[in-house]
Amino acid sequence: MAIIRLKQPAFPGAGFVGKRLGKNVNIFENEMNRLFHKLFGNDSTTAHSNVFPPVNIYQDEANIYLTAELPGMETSEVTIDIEQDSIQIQGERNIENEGENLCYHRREREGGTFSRKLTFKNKIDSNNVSAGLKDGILKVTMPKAKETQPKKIIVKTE
Amino acid sequence: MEGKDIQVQEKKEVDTQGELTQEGPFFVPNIDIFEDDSNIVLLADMPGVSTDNIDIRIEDGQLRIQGKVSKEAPGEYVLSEYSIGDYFSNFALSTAIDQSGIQASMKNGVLRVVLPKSDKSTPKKITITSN
Repeated sequence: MAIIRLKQPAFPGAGFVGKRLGKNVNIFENEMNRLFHKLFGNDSTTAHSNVFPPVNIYQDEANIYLTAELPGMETSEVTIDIEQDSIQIQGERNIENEGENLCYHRREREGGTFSRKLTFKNKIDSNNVSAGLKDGILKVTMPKAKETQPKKIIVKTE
Repeated sequence: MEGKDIQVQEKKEVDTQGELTQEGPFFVPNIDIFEDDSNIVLLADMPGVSTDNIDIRIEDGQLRIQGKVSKEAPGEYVLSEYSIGDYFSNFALSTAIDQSGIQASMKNGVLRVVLPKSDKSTPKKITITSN
């Protein structure tokens, strides 16, 4: 499976690795690229994805899985649009106003709107996609369309 | 959609001085700390940590937060943009906090710790009388 990213790759080589067809992406290669970029890249913050939310994608024979960290978000605040070969995640993370006259010592949690679209090489069975949000982790399960699933052919002896 | 765009923050790995006895990275959660007249409130983003997997302790005047995350992958990796690891954070508690009254709750991957100020540290208004 290959992923064609619409945004620039998170780190050099990521896009290249992702576009390779029909091969299992080598996680070690991925990690090496990341390490190299972290050490020699100009900006260490781009070692990870520079789009929100960063996602992890997995697959097995039947499904493609996408996970993203969306802490503090409710199901109603995330919209997912599925097309035959792409997924779009949109939403807004609200950092609640805790009241007036507060003295902040530290403020690191970020709020704001986000929108991200990922395109897959494989077609998705868009009618059977399921998504859940648990403990701030979004998980989308996308069954691969029948025609893109590997077929097993049994060889018979004649 | 209105409002400002969310900023992407890279997960911060814990800088350890010694060797870790556990495999894999540890992350420092993004944290908000604010106070009002009676409480100090701490909010920590710890996605993937459920109520059962969080450990909060007070030891030697330090508030220690540790959250465990499931590292189970549903399939083989195709793309990895964020790394998964446990969370760890440590705060020194001042004596101005009523340690017995600390309360914590977890919702959608966000930890909320309410640290009540002890009586002696809540501000008192002193009325000035003119003679």
